[in-house]
Amino acid sequence: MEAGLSIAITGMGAVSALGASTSALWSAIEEGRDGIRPIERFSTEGFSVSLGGMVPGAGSGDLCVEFATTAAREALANAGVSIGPGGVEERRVALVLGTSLGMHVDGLHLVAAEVSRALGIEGPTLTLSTACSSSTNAIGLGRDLLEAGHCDVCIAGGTDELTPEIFSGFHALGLLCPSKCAPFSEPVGTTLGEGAGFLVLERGSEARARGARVLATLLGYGLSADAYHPTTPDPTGAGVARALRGALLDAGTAADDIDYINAHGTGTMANDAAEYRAIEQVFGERVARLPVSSTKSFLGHAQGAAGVLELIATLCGMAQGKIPPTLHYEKARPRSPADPVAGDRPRVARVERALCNNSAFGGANAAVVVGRAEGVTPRQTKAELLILGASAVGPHGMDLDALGAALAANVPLRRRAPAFRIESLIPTADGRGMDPASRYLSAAAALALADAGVTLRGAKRERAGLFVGTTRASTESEREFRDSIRDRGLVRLSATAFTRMVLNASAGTCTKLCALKGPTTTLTTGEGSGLVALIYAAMHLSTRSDVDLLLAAGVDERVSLEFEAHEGEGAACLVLGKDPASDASIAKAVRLSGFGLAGPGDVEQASRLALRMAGLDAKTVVVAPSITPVLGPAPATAAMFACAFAVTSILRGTSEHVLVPDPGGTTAAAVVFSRKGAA
Amino acid sequence: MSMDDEIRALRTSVALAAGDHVTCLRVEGEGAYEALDHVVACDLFLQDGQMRPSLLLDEEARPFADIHVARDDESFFLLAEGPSPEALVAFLKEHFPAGVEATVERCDGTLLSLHGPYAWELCTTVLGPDVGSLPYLAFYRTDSGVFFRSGKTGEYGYDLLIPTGEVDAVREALVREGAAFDLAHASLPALEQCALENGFFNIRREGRAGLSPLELGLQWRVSYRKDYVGSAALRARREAGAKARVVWAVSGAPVSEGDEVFLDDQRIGHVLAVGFSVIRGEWVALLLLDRPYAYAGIDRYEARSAGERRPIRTLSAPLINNRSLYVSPQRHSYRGRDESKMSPFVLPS
Amino acid sequence: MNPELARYIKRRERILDKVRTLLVERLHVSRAPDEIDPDAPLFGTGLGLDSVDAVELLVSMESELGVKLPNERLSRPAMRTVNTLVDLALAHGRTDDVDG
Repeated sequence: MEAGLSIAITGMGAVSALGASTSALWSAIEEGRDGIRPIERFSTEGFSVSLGGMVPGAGSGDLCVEFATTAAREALANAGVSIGPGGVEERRVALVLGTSLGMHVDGLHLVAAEVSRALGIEGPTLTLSTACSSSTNAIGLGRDLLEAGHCDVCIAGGTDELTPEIFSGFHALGLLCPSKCAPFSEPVGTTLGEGAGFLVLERGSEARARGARVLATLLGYGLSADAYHPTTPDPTGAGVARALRGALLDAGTAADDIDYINAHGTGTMANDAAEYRAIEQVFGERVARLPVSSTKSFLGHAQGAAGVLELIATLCGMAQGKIPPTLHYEKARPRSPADPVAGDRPRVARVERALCNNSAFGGANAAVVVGRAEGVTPRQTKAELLILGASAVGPHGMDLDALGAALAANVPLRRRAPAFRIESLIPTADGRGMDPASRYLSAAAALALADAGVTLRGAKRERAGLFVGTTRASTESEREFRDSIRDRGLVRLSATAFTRMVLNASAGTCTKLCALKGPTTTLTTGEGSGLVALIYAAMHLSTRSDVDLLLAAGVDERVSLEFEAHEGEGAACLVLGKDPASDASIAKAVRLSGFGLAGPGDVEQASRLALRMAGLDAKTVVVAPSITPVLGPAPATAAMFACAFAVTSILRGTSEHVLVPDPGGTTAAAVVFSRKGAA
Repeated sequence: MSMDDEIRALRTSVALAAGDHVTCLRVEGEGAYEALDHVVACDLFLQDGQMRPSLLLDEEARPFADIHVARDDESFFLLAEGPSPEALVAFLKEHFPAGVEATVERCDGTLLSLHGPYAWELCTTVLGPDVGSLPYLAFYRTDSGVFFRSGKTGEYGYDLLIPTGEVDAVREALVREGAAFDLAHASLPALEQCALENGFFNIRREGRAGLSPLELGLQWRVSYRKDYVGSAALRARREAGAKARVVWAVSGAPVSEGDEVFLDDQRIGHVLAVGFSVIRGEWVALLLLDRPYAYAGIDRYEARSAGERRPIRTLSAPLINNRSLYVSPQRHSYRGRDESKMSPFVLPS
Repeated sequence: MNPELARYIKRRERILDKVRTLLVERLHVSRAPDEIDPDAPLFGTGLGLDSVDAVELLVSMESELGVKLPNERLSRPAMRTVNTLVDLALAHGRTDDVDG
């Protein structure tokens, strides 16, 4: 498939504090009614805040799944898409779900798995988890999946439930507003919310061919890492500005062509100031007359679902020729939007193109551009991808030779990844309070960069990013978090540990320590997460002109406390670059020649796709050995250890082409590595 | 303007000062990190754009220079007080390890500094929001200068390195826009008095008393995990144990540098530095007390000066409840300030 | 030394030890306790704590030293150096533990 296809948004569905449908959401905005109420689902006794944007009439089951299923069904119906006999083939429908942490610490991917099951989706099912920018990023990944031809219809969005733990964590961090949140105004602080939203995405030509009503075109998206702090945004706004610029470049639009910005606008002091700084940097003088509003004043901060719900509000407005206002805005904070669209009624204005931004813990920013496709410059065609460096930190030790030796010996190691000081690998890094997952990932990234012979300097850092696959937050931090609740109660839980409960916490630390300021994401598919992150990195890198390098990694931290448990852990990382490499001194001779994604368990299909892309026959490739018998089960990293091993064996001349397949948890994946120049 | 007025402005609005007492150096080259790591006393845990306070020590582990080290990509800025620029450059060149490629140069430009609870707002007005929104211990570089957020007064503080050709224009702009902030000029003695009140180290005073970071309470600025100039001597002094430590004190009556400090009839230390605090309305002093007596919160000690006995009270630095603690660039402005809602400068102890 | 002064110093030293232990064990400050000077700044690059640690520090001061702050505004001047934390514990901490 070619890059630069136009991706149509053909359906949307929303469950939010404003009600269980898109029309409920928009009619409340039309009438200036917010959905913020005293929380009744759990006790807020002992807290200084009692408000939340809760979904009215929510049941008592798994709310993440309930919200998501309802919203996704509405989106499909809205698009006129049916799945299964008479409709789109089950295996050609993908689900990309963005979610923060919810109640699913043991398997965040299970939410998406249940939603897919409920809707009859049998294609790739991916979970994006970059905290509060999750669903924004999920929509971007949905676009990439369609462009790469991994599906024909993609349902992309997000879901999150407001749990007592999340409420307590935000409360402990002092981020909650005592009254209804008033973005860019007084009082400061956010109000948490919940819900789910989904878009139906299709390739534009196919959508038009089936006579679908196109709501808008998904023009582009941008991701960036703040590389600054676990919870505080870079106050200079530089991180958010990189995501905004990335989205504009990807969309082929100039800043001048944006008519409206739907801001993250949480209401917190740090977010609103940094975000507006970024908007000022990107839009220059135009900020004086650019409408910038925050829908959180209606919905509360719906966490992982925030981005998609706010995008839906934006799209509803565009359809009506209106801009959703910022509610509760009375007194401007210094240095806040010149035009916050203050008021309790949408403003009548024609919006051809809108930009929506979200930011998250871990410094993960995501922005999307939607609107009319006319006048948009098509994106560049795909580049070939090279593996510039590799690393593996695990029970075998910290180098690739040791991994090879351990695999050759074929004896279960039954031990943890080695202890090491992070300063020995990254001299400028302060290792204070890093949990094992962050240490493994940062070490693997530093070693992979060293293996690639890459020193990131100056602006190059903004063109280098990190994509991570993992299945859960650090188990050590998770224990610290649970213990703090058990010993001190929810009101006094450990704020430090709370900030590490997001799945992208280790990626956030790693981007900071390694100064990776380009695109960043964290995803999970259960088993095989690391391999899927590699494939996402490959799709992303090959279609963008603003990124030179992407590090793709898997990371796992042991769950068992038993010393000799046969449980793998650690991190493995590959450095992906484009051919021709931007830096001529880099000359590693391995190509990422093919990759494929398929529905859960369908590893044959994923392998077929990868081989077809590589132009190879199954007989000409060697299949990488399973590392699990030796290192122990490491759900996210096992296949990435195999990738690191495969790259080494090609460099040594042992093999020409190596296939790494993984049946995966919710998505099967396969990649093929080839010696550069091999037939 | 009297020094008292300078200090009042610095503590309530904004004060502009010259930076002649600070030397700004740039260390560059393939081995810049390695070279600096070998002379600077702290671990160079620095992200790009960050800075941290540390020391250069002599071979006896006494402070040679009071520094901020800032990382600019793979190069470094060094803002140093104490030695002359020539002595500083000579020290670095002498102690950089052999065979490491690193150059040291004095930065072009002139330093100005701004201090005060609303210094950020004047910075935003004159130099733009990127300077005004700088976090503590970070810097921002543009074609028109390098702007460091540091400060040694307990207030928002900025060191502005301006190309010499443009410094007059920048100073004029600061003074012009500063009128709305009741901007005052602050002399070096005013800055030093504020540093003393806030517990900041002053290399020109206690820094020249032959003490090591152990006695000066500056171990947080040094590393025990690496080797650098003075590290061996510092380790030896740590093994031996410090016999004295600095403690801050206040007194209603004048005390002088060099006065001896007594508990009843036992001499337990002496006064290292002293100055009258117009903000507290009393004398503030930095004492060097024998270890067993070196604690805050004691009102039984006396300073003896020319036969006079003056009761003094030790307390924890900072001695000022700085307004900068309560002023936020995201929420406040000088124009909209409400004096009646400000926290008192001195909290009851 | 006057017994009252000796008692005060002993009390202060004991709280200082507790604050140091808390910083090392709960806030993960990677320093030996004797390296943590009483006048070391907590934030900035002093001991390297940040705004998130500040929350943990207040909670730890309460659970380990029984410090109950009458109002939030008091926390700012108390959260400046190790010594200001010791002052806070002396003023608002558990007296049994402090004397014992």
